[in-house]
Amino acid sequence: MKLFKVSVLLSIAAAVFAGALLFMTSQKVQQQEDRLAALRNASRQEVAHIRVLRAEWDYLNRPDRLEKLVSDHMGMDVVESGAVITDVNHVPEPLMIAPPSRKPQFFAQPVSMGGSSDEDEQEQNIDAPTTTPLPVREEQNFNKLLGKLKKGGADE
Amino acid sequence: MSDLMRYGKKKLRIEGSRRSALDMARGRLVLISAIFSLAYILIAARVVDLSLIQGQLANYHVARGGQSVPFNLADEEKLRRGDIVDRNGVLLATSLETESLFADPKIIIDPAGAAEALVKIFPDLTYGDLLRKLQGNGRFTWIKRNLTPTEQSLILALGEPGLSFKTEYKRIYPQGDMAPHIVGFTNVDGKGLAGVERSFDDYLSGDHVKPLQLTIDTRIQHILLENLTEAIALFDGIGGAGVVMDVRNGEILAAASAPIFDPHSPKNKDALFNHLTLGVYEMGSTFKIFSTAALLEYENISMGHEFNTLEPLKRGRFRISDYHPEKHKLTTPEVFMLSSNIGSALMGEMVGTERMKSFYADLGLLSPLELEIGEIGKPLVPSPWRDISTLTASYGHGIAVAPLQMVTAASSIINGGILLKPTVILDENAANKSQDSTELRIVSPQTAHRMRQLLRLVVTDGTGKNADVEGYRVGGKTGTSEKIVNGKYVSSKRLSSFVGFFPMDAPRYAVFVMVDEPKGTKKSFGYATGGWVAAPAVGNIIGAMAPLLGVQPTHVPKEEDLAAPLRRYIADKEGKHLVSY
Repeated sequence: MKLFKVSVLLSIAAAVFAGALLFMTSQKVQQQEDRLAALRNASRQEVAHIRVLRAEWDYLNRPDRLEKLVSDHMGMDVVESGAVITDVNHVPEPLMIAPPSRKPQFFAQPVSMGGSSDEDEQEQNIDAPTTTPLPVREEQNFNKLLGKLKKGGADE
Repeated sequence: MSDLMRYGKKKLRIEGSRRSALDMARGRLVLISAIFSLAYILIAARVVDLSLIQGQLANYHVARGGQSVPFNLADEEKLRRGDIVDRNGVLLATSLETESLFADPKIIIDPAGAAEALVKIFPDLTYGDLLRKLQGNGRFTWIKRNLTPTEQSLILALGEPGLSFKTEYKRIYPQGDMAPHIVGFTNVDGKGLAGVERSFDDYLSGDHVKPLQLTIDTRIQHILLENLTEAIALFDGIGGAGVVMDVRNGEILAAASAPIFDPHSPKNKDALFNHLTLGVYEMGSTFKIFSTAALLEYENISMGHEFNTLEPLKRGRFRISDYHPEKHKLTTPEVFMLSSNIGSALMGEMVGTERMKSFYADLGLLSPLELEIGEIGKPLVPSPWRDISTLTASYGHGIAVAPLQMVTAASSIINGGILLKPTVILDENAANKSQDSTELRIVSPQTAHRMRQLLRLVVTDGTGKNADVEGYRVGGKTGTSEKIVNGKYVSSKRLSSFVGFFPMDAPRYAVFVMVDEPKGTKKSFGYATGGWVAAPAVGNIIGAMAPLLGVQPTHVPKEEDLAAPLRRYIADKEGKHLVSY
């Protein structure tokens, strides 16, 4: 029998390789397990932390503390029954303050596609809610202005 | 030579039978050496593994606190005592991790020095006690439970190897002394000692899936507690109780007993007593709700029926009289509105002892209250029950019940006549369930409606005017009873209460306030009765809680009010009734 037959060498190499692979795998598993434990520990601590924060949040939101803060800093009072509006029609209209705008405003106009009655209705519906008319400026046409300027320039 | 040379260079070959033996020996040699070298390689690898790789890992563990526990979060959650939350999920009780300090006397290096240093950190511990503990024979002794992080770092800085920490849970009540009588408290080992903490100890310390949700609403509880303590302080009372209950399902939104205590350090033994459920009292005139309801239910009498209240009522050696006698006979609404003892006693007499007794029993006033906490008082019922007991019970004397029992019974009439079971545990299944099939009817809807009218009348025209809140249609009944001291009624020691309901046309909530031993003030013209002491508090509570709970205010003119049809039975200034029978 040959001592260093190819097959023997090969099988020894395979055994060493397998052993090394096994060793590496076991190391890897241990590392992963350790990482897992670390992560679990971290998440455990995180959960405990959240629990503390939650308790603190509810502690800081105690009604008596909120009441004191509101009375100290906001000057608010208990809602009285007379202050509650029960009918939607009694809600006052919001004050619409329309400052005169510097720039001309353009509105998208409905495009008529042959004048069906539906569209007319829609148009009315759209117009209905706008209570305060927005300031209308004299229409300005850029081309006209340009033409005027050009004319003036030519005269001079 | 050439042959020899050739021989020397060439290997010796043995042919024949000897050859195979030699081969075998060589093969064995190779095999054994291979096995040994493999074994050495393995040992070498293991040495490298243990000394270099594992060693470093172990150091790493030590640095991290020495734990590599493969912990499951869900399992750990079960070890922790469960939370208690209110109906909106606000924490009422929770358990937080803290470190507790213990000592191992055997490995303490310098007991005297350690004791001295510990006293500096914890001024509440005494040097002598500590030294005795640290010089003891055992291997474990608690020094201080539940440290703050600062205290812990101070102790770590001492560097004493005999002092160690153990992670423990501490019960925290973020709302403080908000509802200690319902929530209860635990001892240092996390065992429930009172309230829900005790009655649900098994659930909280066992396999709890989710936090225990109570029906308490922290906001309403705050309103109730604030107004109750204010009323007690204003009238210099010694204690009191209050409750807010949903009259449709018996859910208790707020429950308070005064004086209150801090559940973190329950020391004041008087304050631990729950006046709302454990204390039993003669409730006084609020019991007229039951005698009047029984009369309307059993006797077909008109509201205009007149009771002779001109003379004190004499039955045997007993004499029943009114606080403020009127100069004319009183109709049913007047008896109720003016809270006439004589009138109510006559009502009880008309219904009869047997029927009154079974009516009280149906309402659960003769047996202990059913509630999910352990602190329940047993009612004091007259025994034997004579006819005179029926008369006195009709205006709330001679029978003592827990205040919550009275509120529950009154709510069972006002809600339309269905018996209520009070509860502090929010049961989602029950909330989704429509009307229970096992419901027990106490009075007919007609009687319930008439009682609503009567209760509203008390607030619009009678003794409970101070409880009215514009827009919320409050109804209710005042109650003032004298306390018994050494077997005698003492007129200076009273129990003043008011039970209110709103909105009266379709009652949703019952609000009750009781003050123990109030004293009259200048503002109340010296009166310390339910109408002066408790009714304003109930009014304030309703005014504050109604917007929170989204009860819509409606402003009805007086003529369209619920109590308006009863006004024709009320005498004018000359004591004449509009309709006479």
